[in-house]
Amino acid sequence: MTFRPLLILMAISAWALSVTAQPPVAPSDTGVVAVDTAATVDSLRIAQTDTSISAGQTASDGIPQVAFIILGILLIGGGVAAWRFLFIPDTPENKAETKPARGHPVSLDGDRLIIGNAQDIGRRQEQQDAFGFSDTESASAKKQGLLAVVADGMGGMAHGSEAGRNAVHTFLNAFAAQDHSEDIPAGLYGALMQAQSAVRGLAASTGMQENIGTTLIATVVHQGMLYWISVGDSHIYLMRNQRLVQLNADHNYHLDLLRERAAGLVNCEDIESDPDRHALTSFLGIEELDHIDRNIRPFPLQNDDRILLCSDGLYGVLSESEIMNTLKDDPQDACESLIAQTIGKDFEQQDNVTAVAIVCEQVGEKEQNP
Amino acid sequence: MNYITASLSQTGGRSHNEDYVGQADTGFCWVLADGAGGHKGGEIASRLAVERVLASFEAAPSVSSEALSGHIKAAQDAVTTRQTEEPALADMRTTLVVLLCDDKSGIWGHAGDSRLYHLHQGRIREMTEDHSVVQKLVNAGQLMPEAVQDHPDRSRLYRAIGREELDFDLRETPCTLEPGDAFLLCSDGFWDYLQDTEIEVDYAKSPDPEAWLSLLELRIMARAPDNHDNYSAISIFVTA
Repeated sequence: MTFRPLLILMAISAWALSVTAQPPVAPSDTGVVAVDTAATVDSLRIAQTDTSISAGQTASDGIPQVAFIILGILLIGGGVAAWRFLFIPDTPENKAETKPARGHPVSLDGDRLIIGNAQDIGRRQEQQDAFGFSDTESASAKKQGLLAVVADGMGGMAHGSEAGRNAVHTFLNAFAAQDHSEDIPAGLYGALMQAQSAVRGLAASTGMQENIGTTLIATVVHQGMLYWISVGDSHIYLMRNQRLVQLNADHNYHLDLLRERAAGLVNCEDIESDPDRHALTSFLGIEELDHIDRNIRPFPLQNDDRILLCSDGLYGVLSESEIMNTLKDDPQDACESLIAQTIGKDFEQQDNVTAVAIVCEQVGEKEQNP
Repeated sequence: MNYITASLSQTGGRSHNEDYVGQADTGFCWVLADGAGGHKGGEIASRLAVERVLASFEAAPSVSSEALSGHIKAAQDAVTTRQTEEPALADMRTTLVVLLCDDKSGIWGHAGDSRLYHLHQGRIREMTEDHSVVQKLVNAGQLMPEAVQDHPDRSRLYRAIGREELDFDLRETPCTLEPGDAFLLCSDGFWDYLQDTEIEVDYAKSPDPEAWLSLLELRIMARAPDNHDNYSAISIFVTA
């Protein structure tokens, strides 16, 4: 598989990055886990950090010149491998296209999708965001469609990143291990419950139940329909007809305040001035997982619908119109550009940032033979 | 075919609620109206119109464009009669949207900018077209749909109950319904803050019609300013 050399290159460059830029951080905290997981779990493909942007970010940190040179070589190698992987130049469909997509094209059960992804550590000490996709060549994906997952972990030291990665890994495995092709919402719900158990277990094993958790958002595109599940405040957007719609509601105190507003108890100013409005009310790792945002009926997709999964490091920095203007592009370009624009704002406290985009090139139609 | 429904009608940031919603006690008829006019004329007009449509339906509960037309004319008569009786109310008007159903089909009609959305297999299959000046401008290509919300004339209507000349739109023939279909009737204070896609998204999330309205109401609460308009809606799930 052309995927392997890419993963190894990415692993090395991510490791180089972590040892040069952030000495106190263990190598496994900047995306190497994704590589470990993909290498050990055959049914899964978990994507890795976007090294080109991570590298740009570390340039200001005063790294020794040798590290820059090593990094440069690795990045060129990584870029070539990525190019080869993303283009897949041998397939007949791609040859026919005048302008091949840079994102990874996938055909599954009547849906032709293009996937993009990018990530950056921001100005944090470790990458606590994690993301992954189902292996598009697996039997599970052929039956149950394309699954994409993003998690934004929280917790001190390495626990936040462990929570996020663990949740994504558990979710992908749990979803792939079952067959819910007739009831995707049940499959997503079951996978979420397993991820919740995993994060609770992790918290218990570290004795830090109160401080470890993660958001999790997941989408499935299956036979022209979209399904999602969400806990926490990561966002799932749908861009359709030049307009952006958030599919999931944020599980934070702000949502409770909106309910109070509907009951006539508070006004806009009360809501905007409440210092706790961003406090999460639901996430994986919470004792009672009462609030889950999901659709229980299939949501019909249209050709050219664009789905974006992102962490708050992105939507907290970019406006909806900036997101929309960027999402018009090829999904891989769009994700890279979204991350670059976010980092370009140069916020002192820039959080980890992750973008996963899926473009529905053609959905809900069985492929026609010419 | 059966129907489960929910409704809400809120004053919002105003002093009076000039919206009114109602449904028939027997048979399947839902009505929503959004009134306007001084001396409580708005409240009186919307309530009169809704109650008269329901009374007219219960007297002759058939699902046809003729029957529906008769109910809307009855509402017009009720409002104009009251205008004559009480000159202070001469300028009162109301929008009106009516849905009638039987065990296999539904038909609807409207005047003004209160809307009806019909969802089929999770998608908006039909929706009413507002009798508003801005909608005319959009149709003529003179206004972008995105610019409607900021237009100074966006609440000006060219059709309403209580005007001298009665004019309204009706669906010509009843529409065959299937389990899984859904309806949303709402006033402009409700749809003004929503995108059509959000109506579909929140429908996909909702186990019952009440949940659908609650989810949409939260989107409104996140966007509407403190002085926002009255907002009302009726949601209907078609079940086997």
